[in-house]
Amino acid sequence: MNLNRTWRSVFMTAAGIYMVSLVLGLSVHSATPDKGTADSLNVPESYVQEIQAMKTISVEDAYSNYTSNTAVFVDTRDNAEYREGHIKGAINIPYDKFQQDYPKFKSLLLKNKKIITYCHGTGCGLSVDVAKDLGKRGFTDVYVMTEGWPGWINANLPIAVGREP
Amino acid sequence: MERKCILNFAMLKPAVILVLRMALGAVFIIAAYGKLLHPGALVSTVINFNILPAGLAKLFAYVLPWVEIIAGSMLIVGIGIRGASLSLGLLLVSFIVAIAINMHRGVSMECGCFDIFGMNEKIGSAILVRDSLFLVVVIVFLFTRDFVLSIDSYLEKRVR
Repeated sequence: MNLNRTWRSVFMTAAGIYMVSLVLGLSVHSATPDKGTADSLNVPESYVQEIQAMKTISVEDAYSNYTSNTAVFVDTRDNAEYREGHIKGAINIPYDKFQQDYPKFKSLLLKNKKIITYCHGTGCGLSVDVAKDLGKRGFTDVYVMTEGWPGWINANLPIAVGREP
Repeated sequence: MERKCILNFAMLKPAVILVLRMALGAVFIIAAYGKLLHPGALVSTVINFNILPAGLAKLFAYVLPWVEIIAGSMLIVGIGIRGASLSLGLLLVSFIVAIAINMHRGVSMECGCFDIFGMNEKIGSAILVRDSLFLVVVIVFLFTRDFVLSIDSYLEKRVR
């Protein structure tokens, strides 16, 4: 009887911890303003669902592919942002210019390498859109680097400015 | 001789439990701090594990660091230790299952365990072993009756 009471108190304490955490977690989440950055919690539901259907890659693994030259990086932000700074060697295919830019870069994409798309980081769907467009063209080894450009620069990895290649 | 060894272990056990309690509490508080610093990265990591449906994945990411910080603090302060151990045990089981599933899928990804001090650990056997050891420790706590230097034992003695 006493034993049961002890265990009941253990379960109640654990349940209490989860309840308080739920309240705190939701309160902090709702109080966090949408900064529109990688650290924003306001990730749209549609993005969450889309990213679950995609193959994703971390900055660290993407960098391994970068050093071994086994991937083509596709910057899906607009031309001006790309020119301001991008992953060294990345090509620029803005999501809204895929149809017109694809023929230009087709030969680079067809090099039997992994294709890694990126944009503004968590919550940014441009890289997902381009990855889907590439999938429709028959590319299967396409990955979305979800941490995006902010993740790459935060890790102090090689970048370039201006136009290339 | 044998009797002496048993006596020594019995004397040592409360001290070992105390050290483990403090260490594990500190580990979870540090882990929670890193997660609270980078909430967006945590949401992204939980989504990348690709186990929970979207809404639940986000909810898990919001709640996780708070469970770690509250339960970790309770271990250190010594209040509701067994309840805190149960809540951490459930978390550890979820980590172990999630990591094992993704290792089975052949996915290479960041674990997001300690998003602090520039640590970018990737899921793998080492993390599975570490989490399993933590799980063993919390299970030991769950079946321990008396904790030295704890509010729990102080209150229990007062009730007796």
